[in-house]
Amino acid sequence: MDFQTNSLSTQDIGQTTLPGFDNPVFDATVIFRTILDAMSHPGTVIETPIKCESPSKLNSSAASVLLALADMDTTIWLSPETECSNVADYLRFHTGCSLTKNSNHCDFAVLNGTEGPDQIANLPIGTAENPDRSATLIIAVDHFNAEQKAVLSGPGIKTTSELSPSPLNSKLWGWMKDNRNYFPCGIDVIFASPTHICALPRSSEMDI
Amino acid sequence: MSQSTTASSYNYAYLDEQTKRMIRRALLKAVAIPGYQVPFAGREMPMPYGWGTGGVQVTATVIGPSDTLKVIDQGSDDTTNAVSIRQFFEKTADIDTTEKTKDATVIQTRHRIPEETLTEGQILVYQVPIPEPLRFLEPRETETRKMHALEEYGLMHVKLYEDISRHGHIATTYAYPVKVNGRYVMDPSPTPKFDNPKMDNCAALQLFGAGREKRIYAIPPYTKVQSLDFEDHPFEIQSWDQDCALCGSTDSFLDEVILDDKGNRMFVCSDSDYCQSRQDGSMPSSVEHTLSQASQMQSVNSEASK
Ligand SMILES: [Zn+2]
Repeated sequence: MDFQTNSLSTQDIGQTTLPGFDNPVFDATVIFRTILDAMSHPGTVIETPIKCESPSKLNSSAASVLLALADMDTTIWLSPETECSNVADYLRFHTGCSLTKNSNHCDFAVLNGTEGPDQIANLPIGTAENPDRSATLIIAVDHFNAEQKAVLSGPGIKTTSELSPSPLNSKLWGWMKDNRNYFPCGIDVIFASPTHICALPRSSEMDI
Repeated sequence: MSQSTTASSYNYAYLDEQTKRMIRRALLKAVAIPGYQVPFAGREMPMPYGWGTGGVQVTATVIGPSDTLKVIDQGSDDTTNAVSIRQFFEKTADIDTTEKTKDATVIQTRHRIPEETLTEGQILVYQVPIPEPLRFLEPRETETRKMHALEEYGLMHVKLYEDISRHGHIATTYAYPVKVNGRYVMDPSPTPKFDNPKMDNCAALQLFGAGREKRIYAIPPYTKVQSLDFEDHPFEIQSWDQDCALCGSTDSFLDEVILDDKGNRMFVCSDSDYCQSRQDGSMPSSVEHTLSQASQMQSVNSEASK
């Protein structure tokens, strides 16, 4: 069997950019399945099955999510805390995406958990007729053992589940709760620690 | 670049990576907005539309080498359609296939949901010919989008009620409309309404792909799926006077089989794996348990219809 893998070696990349996926086809598939699993089970913390070297302001899981989903048809917005030439070059090189300074025109947005909701107030949430035309927000955190927890319920959740990303700007909790009120419009969130991901789709009800 | 360029080469699971990414982004939106139809830029597949290209594209997008795939058509693993799709993925995605519902991680289906209760971690992919439940009421896509946006589902209820005034009961037996998570009215694809209750609060992830109309929609696990009905005419599933002639099942969906030209016929399970497992005596006890619950529900329903 002879599959095309479009694999890039470090020689192809040169010295300036970190390598992306070892095997772009299979790594992207396994990362996508992890994201699909997370989005189908809100609040469940799932191990990211692949480590990839990433710039310091973008942890390995957050980088994997973008490498799996972004390409030349998508636009990424980076928050003030995550925006730097290393991250921008890395994403452009590996995905072919465009980067934008306009948070109201992006498919993916990247935020650090320490940042406040003012930065993401203008992300597209879709329209009543096309609620899918919304941004997916990736929030980089350190772990999922925060003292503060939200209790989630709704589609994908058998009874309830808990959401406890850390560190998280305290104002983001209110933003997440508000986000549910726009349903079917809204933002889908993927929290990414260096080793795990956890999703909060717009459909989840949240009790803080 | 170590890219293979031989004439016989193709990408893993046939679809190119850019198409997969586009479908993957659509699938994630579909899961986040249960029952909403996400448009996607479908690709031509090496098979005609009637063969379930929408389902094939979804399967090609989610599947990886560690998956075990089952393909059913009208409940059977052995029809030409099911065999072709299974062989297509054996060849292009180098995966294991199975006929056992419980051994499959991904099940692609046309027109049935397996009788055996689906479990956490399984993905059921439906081939959908017409994704828009409001299409027969309103041919214009711009209008049906507005109706979904405004939750304007009154006409759908009127249609079902016309059934009642004409037939004394709701005559719709296939593609019976459902409401997902109390919000979107959704076409469950041309499955018999017998299968609708299996969609409700199902542990598996349900994904729907319509190839010709290029729409993807989803039901996450543990999501409320209600069949539309009326207080005085509650939703009922089909029931049969006969048991399965092969395995004796009293509560599975039965197909009528003509035996000869003298009009002799028998009824057998539409789900061939389920029927065979029962004949082999290998049905797990948990399934028997679930089925006895289902049969209680069914007997209540059949009494109600008398
Ligand atoms: Zn049988």
